[in-house]
Amino acid sequence: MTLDMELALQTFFEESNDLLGEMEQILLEVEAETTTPEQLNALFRAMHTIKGSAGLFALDDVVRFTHQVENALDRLRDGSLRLDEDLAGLLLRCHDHVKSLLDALAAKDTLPIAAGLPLLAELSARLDAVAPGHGDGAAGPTVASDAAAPASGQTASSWLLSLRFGPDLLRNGMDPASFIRYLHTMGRVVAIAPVTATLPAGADFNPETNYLRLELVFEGTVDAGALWDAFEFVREDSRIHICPLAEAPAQLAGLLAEAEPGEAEALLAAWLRLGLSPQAAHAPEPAAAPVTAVHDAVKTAAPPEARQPRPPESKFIKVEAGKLDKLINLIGELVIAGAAANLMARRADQTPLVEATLTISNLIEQIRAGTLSMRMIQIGEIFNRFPRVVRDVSHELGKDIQLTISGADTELDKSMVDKLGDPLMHIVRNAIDHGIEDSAQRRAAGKPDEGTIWLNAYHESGSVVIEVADDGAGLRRERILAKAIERNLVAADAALSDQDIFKLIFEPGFSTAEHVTNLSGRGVGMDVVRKSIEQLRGSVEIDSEPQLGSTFRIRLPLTLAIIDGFLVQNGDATFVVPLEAVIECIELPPAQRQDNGHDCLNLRGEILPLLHLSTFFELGAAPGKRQNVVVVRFGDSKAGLVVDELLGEYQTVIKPLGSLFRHLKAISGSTILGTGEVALILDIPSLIHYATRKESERYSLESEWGKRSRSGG
Amino acid sequence: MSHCLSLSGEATIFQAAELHHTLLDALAQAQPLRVDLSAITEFDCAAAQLLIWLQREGRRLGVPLALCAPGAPVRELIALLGLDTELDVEEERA
Repeated sequence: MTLDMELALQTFFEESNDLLGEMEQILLEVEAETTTPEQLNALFRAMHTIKGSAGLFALDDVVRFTHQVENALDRLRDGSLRLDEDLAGLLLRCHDHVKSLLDALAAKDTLPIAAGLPLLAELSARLDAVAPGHGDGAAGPTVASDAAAPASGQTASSWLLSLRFGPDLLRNGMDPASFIRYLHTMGRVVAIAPVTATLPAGADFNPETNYLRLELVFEGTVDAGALWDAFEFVREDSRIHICPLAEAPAQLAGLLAEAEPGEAEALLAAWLRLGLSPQAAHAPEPAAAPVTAVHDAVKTAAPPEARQPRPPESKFIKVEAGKLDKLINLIGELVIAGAAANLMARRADQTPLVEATLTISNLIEQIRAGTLSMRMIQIGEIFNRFPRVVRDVSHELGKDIQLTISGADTELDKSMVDKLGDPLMHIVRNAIDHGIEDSAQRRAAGKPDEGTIWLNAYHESGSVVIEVADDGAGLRRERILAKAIERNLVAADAALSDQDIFKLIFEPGFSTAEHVTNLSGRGVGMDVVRKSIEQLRGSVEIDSEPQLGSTFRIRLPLTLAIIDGFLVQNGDATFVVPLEAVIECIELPPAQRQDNGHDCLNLRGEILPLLHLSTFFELGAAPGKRQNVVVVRFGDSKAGLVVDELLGEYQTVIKPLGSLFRHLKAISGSTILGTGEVALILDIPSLIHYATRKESERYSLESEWGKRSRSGG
Repeated sequence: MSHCLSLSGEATIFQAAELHHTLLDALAQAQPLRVDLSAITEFDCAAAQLLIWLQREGRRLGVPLALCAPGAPVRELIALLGLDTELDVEEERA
C-alpha cells in the first residue's frame, strides 16, 4: 500500500472513530429519552459514511457489516422499525463490532468477523420481524405498501432473478432466505425454484458453505435499481442477474454459459418450473442490449451514492501531538530567555530596554497561555465513555444504576486526559461492582432501588478535581483495617484516621471484595490506580460514610509543562513554590522564632503547622534577619513554610529531575532562573503531608510517636 | 428397527458444523433413519442444505432415510424457497 493510501486510511480511521463516538452518544441518549428524527438521521449518516468510506478502501468486511446496520437504521429512519431498549443495545453492540473491525484493520490484525455473525443474525431477525407488517401496513410511502396495494397493480412489472449466491454467503452471516423475505416486502415472488446441483456428495460437503442457487420470477412495482439495491451487498461475491421477464429468454443462454459445471441441467429444469422455455433461450432477441445497458447504468450509479460528500468540515484541525509538545518546549525556553533579557535590562538600568522586555514578556505570556490552552481538552472526552460502561456493567451485574455527569467542560491537559482514562475506569467499575449494593440490599437500607454514580470535575486553586461518587454502602472501615492487619500492612495497634484506613485499599494486592467478579480483580488493582495518578503529580483521597456512599477525589495539576511559581530564598538556595498552592504570606512573629520545639502558628485562631525549610533541607545557613511564612494548601490541609526571603512570582518551566532524584519526596522538579541558576520546585503536597503528620504525631501516643517518626520523613 | 433422531432448537449456520457431525454419526450406523424435525425452532438455508445433503447421502450409501414432522419454521422456509422439489419431507410424526 502506498504512503498516500496509508495516510488516507489514517484519516478514515479517525473520521470513523469520531462518527462511532457520535453514534454511541446518540444511542445512549436515546435510551434515556424519546428519539428525535435528527438523532435517527445522525445515526444513519454515521453508518452510511463509514460504509461509504470503507467501500472506497475496498474494506469489504467492514462494508458488509455496516451495510446491514445501515439497513436497520434506515428502517428506523422511515419509521417502520421502532428504537426500543433492546434494539439500542443491539446497535450499541454493532457499534462495538465496527469499532473492533476498524481497530483490527488499524493494527493490521485479522478481522474478528465471526463476532459479527450473531449480530447480523439478530439484526436480520429484527428486520424480518417488521417485514410482514411492513407489507400489509397502511402507513408509509414505501414501495412495499404500494406493491401490496392491488390498485397500483397495473404498473407492476415482472422480473427474472437469477441468484447464484457466493460460497461464503452463509459464513458471512447472511441467509439467502432473508433476501427472498425482503423481496416479499417489495412485491410478489410468483415462482421460485432452487438449484442445488453443486451440492457435493460425501465428505466434500461443507455445512458452512453455500451451495444454493435460486431462480425466481418476481412481480412488483419496482425498477431494476430497487431490485439491484436489495442485493447490493452480495453483488461482489455472488452472481446476481436481474432482467425483465419479457427479456429473460434472451438472457438464459448467457446464464447457462456462466453456470457452474454440472449445474446447467438443473438450471434448465428450474426455468421450466418457472414457466420459461429453454428453447426460447436460443432465439435471438434484440432487446438484450438495452437490458445490459440498464444493468450497467445501475452498476455505475451505485458507487457515487457511497461517495456522498462528508458533512461540512468540522471546525477542528487535527495536529500531531508531538508537534505541539515541541512548540511548548520551545515556548518554555522562550520564557526563560525572556526572563533573562528582562533581568539584564534591569541590571543595565536602561528604562526603555526594560519596557521593551516587559512588552515581550507580556506577549510571551499570552503565547504561553494560548499554546497551553491548545493542549487543554475538556474532560468530557473521558467522561463520555462512562455512560456506556455504567450501562453495560450494571446490566451485566443486574443492578439498576444511573450515572450523573457534571463539570464535563472542565479543561485538562491532553496528556493527562489520555492517562486518566484507565484509572478512572477502574474507580467507576469498582463503584458499580463493590460500591452500589444490589436492589434487595438497597431496599433493606431504605434507599431507592436505582443506585447513582456521580462523575464530577471542577477547578480548585490551580488544580483539577475529579470526583467519582456513589450512593452505595460505603467502604467498610473495619473490614479494611482487619485485612490490612492480616496482611501486615499496618500494626495491629496502630491508631489510624479514617482517611488513612481508606487509603489502604490502594496498597498492592489489597481487595476486600468477598468474591472476585470478572469486573474487578482483573489484574489492574487500586495500587495501579494510585500509581498512575501519582505519575501525573496528582493525588487521590477517599471520603466514605457507611450506608451513604463513597467519594473518590482525584486532584491533578492543571498542566505538566509550565507553572506559575512563587520564588522564595533560604540562605543561598532558591526554591519555587507553585503559585496556585500559595494562599498568603506573613511575617513569622519574632516570638515564634525562638520556640522551635513547638512548630505551630496560631493563624487567626487556626493551628498552622510550620516547616522550616532550612532545617528540613539541612541547608545549614544561618537564619535571615527576618523570616517569613508562606501559607500553602493542598486540598483541605494547610501548612506554613518558613523561609528567609520572598522573591515574588516567577514563571517556571518545569524540567524533570533526573532519575537519580526520582525518589526525592519533597522536590517535584527543577527550573532554570533567568540568571542561569537552578531552582528546585517544592512538592507541596508531600511537604504539607509531612508537616501535618509531624504535628499530629506529637499528640499521639508516646510509643506510637517513636515508632512512626523513625519511619516517617 | 429404525433409528430415530430428533433435531431440536435452533438449526442455523451457527449449529451447522455440529449438526453435520450428528448427522454423519447417525448415517454411520447404517440402519433406517428417521429424522424428526418438529422441535426445530429456527431453520435457515444452511440447515436446509444440510438436510438436502443428508437425503442424498442416504440414497448414496443405501441408508433408508426419512425426514418427518416439519414444524412451522421448517415449513416456512421450504415454502419460501420452493425447496419441496429438493426435500422429501413426510408430514406425520415418527
